[in-house]
Amino acid sequence: MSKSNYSVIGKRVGNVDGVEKVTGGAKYTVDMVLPNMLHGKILRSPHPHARILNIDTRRAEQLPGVKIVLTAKDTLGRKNGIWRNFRDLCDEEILCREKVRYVGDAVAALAATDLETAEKALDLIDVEYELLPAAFDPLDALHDGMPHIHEDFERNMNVYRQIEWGDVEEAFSQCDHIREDTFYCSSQAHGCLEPHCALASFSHDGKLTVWTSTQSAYYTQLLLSDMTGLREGDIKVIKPHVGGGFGSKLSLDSAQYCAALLSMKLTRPVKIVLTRAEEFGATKRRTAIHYKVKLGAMKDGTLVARKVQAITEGGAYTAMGGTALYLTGFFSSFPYKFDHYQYDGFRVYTNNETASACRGFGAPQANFVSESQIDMMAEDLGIDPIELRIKNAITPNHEIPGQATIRSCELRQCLEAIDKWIKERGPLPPNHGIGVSAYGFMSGGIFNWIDTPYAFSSALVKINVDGKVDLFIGANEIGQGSNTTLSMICAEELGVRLEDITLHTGDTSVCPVDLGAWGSRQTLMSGNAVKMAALEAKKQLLEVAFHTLKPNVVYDLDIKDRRVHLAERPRRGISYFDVVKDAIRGKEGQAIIGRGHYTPHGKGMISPAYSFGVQAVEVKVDRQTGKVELKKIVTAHECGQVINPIGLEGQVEGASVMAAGWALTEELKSRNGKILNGDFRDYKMLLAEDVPEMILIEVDSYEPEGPYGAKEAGEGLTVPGAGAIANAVYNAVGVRITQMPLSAEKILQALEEKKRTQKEVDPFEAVA
Amino acid sequence: MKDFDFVRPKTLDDAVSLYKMAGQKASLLAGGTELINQIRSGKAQPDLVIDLKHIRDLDFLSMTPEGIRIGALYRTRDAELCGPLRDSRYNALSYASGTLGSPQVRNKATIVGNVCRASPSGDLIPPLIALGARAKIVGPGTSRSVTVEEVIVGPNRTILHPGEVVSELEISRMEDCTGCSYSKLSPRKSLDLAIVGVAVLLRTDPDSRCLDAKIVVGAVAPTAVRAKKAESILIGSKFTEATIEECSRAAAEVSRARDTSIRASAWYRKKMVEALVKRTIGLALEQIKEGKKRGRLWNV
Amino acid sequence: MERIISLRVNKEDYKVMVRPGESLLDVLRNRLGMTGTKECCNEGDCGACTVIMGGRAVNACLVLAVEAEGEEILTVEGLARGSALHPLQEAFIKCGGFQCGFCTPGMLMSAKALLDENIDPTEDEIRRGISGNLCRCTGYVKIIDSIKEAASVMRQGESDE
Repeated sequence: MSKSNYSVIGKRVGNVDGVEKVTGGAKYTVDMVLPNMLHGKILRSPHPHARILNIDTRRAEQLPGVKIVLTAKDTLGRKNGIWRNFRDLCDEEILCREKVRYVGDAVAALAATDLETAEKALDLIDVEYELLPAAFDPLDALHDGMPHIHEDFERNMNVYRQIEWGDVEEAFSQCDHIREDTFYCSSQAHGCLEPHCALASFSHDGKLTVWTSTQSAYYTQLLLSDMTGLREGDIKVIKPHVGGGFGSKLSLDSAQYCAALLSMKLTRPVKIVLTRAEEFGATKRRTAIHYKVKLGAMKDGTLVARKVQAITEGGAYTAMGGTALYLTGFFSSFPYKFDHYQYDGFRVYTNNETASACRGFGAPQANFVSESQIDMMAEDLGIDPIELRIKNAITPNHEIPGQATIRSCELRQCLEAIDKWIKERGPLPPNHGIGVSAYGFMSGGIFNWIDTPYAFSSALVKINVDGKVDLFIGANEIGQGSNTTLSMICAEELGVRLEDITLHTGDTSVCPVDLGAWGSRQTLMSGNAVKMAALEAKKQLLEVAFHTLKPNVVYDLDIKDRRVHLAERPRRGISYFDVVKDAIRGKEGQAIIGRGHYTPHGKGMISPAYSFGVQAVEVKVDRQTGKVELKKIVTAHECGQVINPIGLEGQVEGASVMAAGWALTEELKSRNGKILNGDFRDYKMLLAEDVPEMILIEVDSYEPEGPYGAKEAGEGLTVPGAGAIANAVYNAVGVRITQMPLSAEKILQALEEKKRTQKEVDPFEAVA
Repeated sequence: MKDFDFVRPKTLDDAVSLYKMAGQKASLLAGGTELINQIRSGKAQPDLVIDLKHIRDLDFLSMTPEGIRIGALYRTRDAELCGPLRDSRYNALSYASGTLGSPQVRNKATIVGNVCRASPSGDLIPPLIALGARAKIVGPGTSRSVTVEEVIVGPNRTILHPGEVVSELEISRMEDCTGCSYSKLSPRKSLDLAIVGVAVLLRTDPDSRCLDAKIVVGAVAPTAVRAKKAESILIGSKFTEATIEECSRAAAEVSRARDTSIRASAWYRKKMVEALVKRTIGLALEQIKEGKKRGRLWNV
Repeated sequence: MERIISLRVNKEDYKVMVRPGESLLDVLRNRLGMTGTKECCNEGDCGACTVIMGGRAVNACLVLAVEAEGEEILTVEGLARGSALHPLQEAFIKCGGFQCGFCTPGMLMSAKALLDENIDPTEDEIRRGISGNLCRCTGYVKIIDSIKEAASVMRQGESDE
C-alpha cells in the first residue's frame, strides 16, 4: 500500500502526552502523595555474602514515628521470579531470610511518619551477620570449591542454554581461514532518571492498590499476587507516567514489594522511593559477558561457521538473566547466514548486583563481539568489510533452523546506503576513523515466562455518540511513545483524527491485559491488537453505513478523516458522526465496542519479525590521551512502515547514545561487590556536548506480520554502537580493543603497547 | 539531616564576628554547591550557616592596569561569560571557570569558594596559583594577604581560621610577553571533575627565551602542586621540542596519584600530566603571541 | 529550628514553614506541591531540578530554601502564560524534545535561561546551555532541535512586535 494513502500514520504528529509533560503537569509515581501516607525505607546488606544470624528490630521500633519494621519472618516466604513454572529459577526472596547474596540485598523494611525518621530508624536495626566467602568473577565462581551462592546450584551454574544448527566442527575443517578471539562486554546501569518507586495502599476491604513506575503493570500485578497471596483481582496496579525503564522496571522490585507488604500490615498508604545509590547498587543491570568466538570463512569471504561460548556474570539472582543468556546466543549469529552455528552459554551466579534485562537484552553484547570479529576477518581476508557483510547478509524469507524465520529484511539496502555515505564522506583527517556495524533485532519476544493464558496484547475500542473514541490498552508507555503510536493506529484504522481518540491506559482494573514494554514488542504486538479492535468497531459502523449509502455490491466502504465513503469513489459518502449516531441507535443505545488481541503463533522461538540496520560511527582518537571523540553517527535502518516518525527517530537517536555511553564512559566499577561509582558524577552518562551530529537514513520495508507493515525500533539501535565504535577506533589509530569499555586509559595502553611492539619488530623488518 | 541556624549578615564585619563567635561549628555559604551536598550527606554538620550573599560589594570583578581583583561573591559563570576578562591576558580564569560543573553549578559557585573548598581537582586553583593570586583574608580586626598557593594546605583544608573570610583575590598585573593557560582532562565535556588539570604561565624575552615559568598541576596530589623542577627546565631555555618534552616528563613526577581512585589509575594520571603540560605550554605560548598582536587591548 | 519564610514562586508569594536544611527542591515539591520540578540525583549532577532563580538557571537541590528567600523563582509550572504555552513548550511538543519527560522540566528551564541570555544561539551554544541536564531517552538531538525551533519562533515574535 502506498504511504500517501494514510491520513494519520507516518505523519509527524506531536506526542499525545506532550502538553502534560512540558507543563510539569505529568504525574509520576515519585510525585504522588496520599492522605495519611507513611514513608518506607529498606535496610540493605553491606556484605556481599553473609548468613543472617539475627535481626533485632526493637530499637528501631521504639523510635517515635516508626510504625512497623518487617523482616523475612513477616512474609509468606515465597521467592520471586519471572519464570513462574520453573520454581528453582524463582530465587529472590526480596526480604532475605537466611542469607544475603550481594551488597544491597534487602533484609528489612520499615515505615515511619516521615522520611527522615525512616532513614534514622534504618541505623537502629541490628543485624548480626556471619560473613561468608564470596565470589565476584564468574570465571572464578565456576570452579569447584568456590562458595555456593544458591545451595542447589553446583559450581554456581544458574542457567545453561545451547543453540545449534549444522555441524560447526566439520565445517571448520573445510574453511580457508579461521579466527578465534576472546572478548569481554561490560555491564551498564539503566540510568532511569525516575528511580524505582511505589506507593501502596491496602484498604480494610482487603484490596491493594499500587501506583508504581513499571514497564508492565500486568507483571507487577501477577508477581505481587504470587508474593503476597492476594488474588490478582484484588490487586490494582496503576502506572502513572514513568521516568524511563530500559529493562530495569520489568520484574517485581523491592520498592513495590516492600511498600505493598508494609501497607498490608498497617492498612495505611506507604510510599517507597529508592535513592540514587540504591538505583545503582540494589536494582538490576546489564549482563557482563565473557566470550570465546571461533569464526570460519572461505577465501572469497563466505562465512561458513561460527562457534560461540559465553559465560555471563549473573549476579545474585536469576531475574530475567536467562533470557539475556539465550538472546545473546541467538543474536551472535546475526545478521548473517551461517550454515553452521553453535552456541553454548553459561549463566553463573556471583555475589554482585543481579544482571537482568537491559535495553537490547543480550544483543548489544553479541553485536560488539561478532561485528568486531567480522572486521578482523575482513582484514585477514583482504576484503572490504562492507562487501563482506553484504555477501553474507540475511535476506528476506531466511530460515534459521529451529529458531526463526526472517520475513522482511532490507539489510543489504542498509549496507549499501552506509557504503554510499562513507564514500561520499571521502578521505578523513588524521586520527579519524569510521567503523560500521550491522545488526538485527526482534519485534517483541515470543516468551511467555510469566505463563499467562491471556493474549500477549489486547485492546478495546469504544465509540461514543459524539464520535469520540475510547481506546483501552494494557500497553505501557514509559517514554518510548507507545501511547502516541497506538492512538495513531487506532485513528488510522477507524478513519478518524488523532484528537478523536481518548486513551485509557496504565490501570490493571480498567485496561485489558498486555505483557508490557519489553523486547520492542508494543508497536507490533499491541499495535496489532489495537488495529484489530478498531477494525471490529469500524465494521459495525460500516454495516449501518451500507444501509444508508446502499452501494452496488461490488463496492467496499471505508472511513477516512471522519467520512464514511465508497472506497473506490471517495466522493460518495456521509459523515462519520451521523453513522456513529445511527449505529448506536441501531444497537439499542449501546456504545460501539470492538475488541482486539494478538498472540504470535507459528513464528519460531524468538520473535514474529526482525528489523535490520547498519550504523557507521566516525570517531577521532586523541593519541596522547586515548580519548575518543564521537564525530558522527550515521544509521541506515529499516523498521517496516513507519507509524510515528518523531517517536521513531527519538528512539533511534536515544538508543544510539545509550550504546555510545556503554561503549565509552559508562562503567560500573565495584570492589568486593560494592558499586563504587553509584552516582551521576562518577557513572558517566553522555551529555549534550558529548553527543555528535546524527544522520538517519530510512530504508523502506514492509513486514507482513506487523500493523500496516510496521516492526520494532525501540531497542535495535542499542545494538550496533559499541561494535561500530570499536571498529572506528581501530580504523583511526590501529588498536583493537576487545575488552569493553573503550576507556581512554585502555586505548592509551593499547597505543603504547603498539608503539613498543613496533619498535621491537622494526629492526628485523629492516634486515629482511 | 542535622538542624542548623541560618544567618544572612549584611556586612563583612558582621559575618566575621558571627563566624568568630560560632567558631568551627559554623560554615560559610557563598555559592554553596559543595556545602549543601556535604550537609545533606552528613560530611558537614554545622550549627550555623552564614550566608555571605547579602553582603554588599563583594560581587565584583575589577580590572585595572595594575591587575585584577575578584570579589568573594563573583561567580564562575560570570567569569566564564565576562567579555573583558575573556579578551584579556587573564582569560585562563574565564576558561577554567567554564570547565567547572554545569551552567547551573556555575551560576552559584564562586571563584573564591573554589579556592576555599580546596578540592584537589578544583578547576580555578591551578590557574590562580600560576597567576600568583593572593587572597585577602579579613578576620576579627585583622587583615592579611596570602598567596592562594599558601592558603591551601590539603584536601578540604586551608590556613583559614574560624572567623576569617576571604573577601577577595588579587592578581598583580601580568607583564608583557606573558601567557597563561589552563587545560583540563575529563571523560565528559561537562559535569565532570578533572582527571588532571594543568595551568601554565610563561614569560618570554623578545628572543622567545623563557624568563619565567609556572606549572601547576591539579588532581594528582592532595592539593594542586607546582612542578618546580619542570619550571626550572624551561627557565632560561628556548622552547624547543626537546626542552618541552623534558619539562613535561619532569612535571609528571609531581603526580602522587594512587591506584585506589576509581577515576583513573596512577599510571594514567601521570601520563596525562605529561600530555597536558606539553599541550598547555603550547597554549600559553599562543597566548603570548596573541598578546603581542593585541598590544594594549590585552592589558585590561 | 523551623522558621517561616516568604518565597516568591512564579510571581506568587508564599509563606512557608521550613527548616534551614531543606532545599528549595524539597520545599517546592513537598511543601508547595509543585511537583513539576523533578528530584533525580539530589546532588547537582543531573539538572532535573533546574529552576530559574534571580534570572539564572540553578539546581534547586543545591539551593537552601532559606537562601531563596527574596529571590524571584520560576519553575516549569510558571512557564506558560495562562493557557498559552511558552514557545519552548510548543517546540518541545512539535519537535519531540522529550520521551519519558522526567528531564523535561529541568531541560526547559535551562533552555529558557539560555534563550533569555541569547535569543539566537548556535548549536554549540545550545549544547553548552543544556550541558548540565542529563537525558537518558532522547540522545539530545530532538531537544536541541526544539530549542532551535523555539528560538526562531521567539525571534520572529520579537521582530513582529
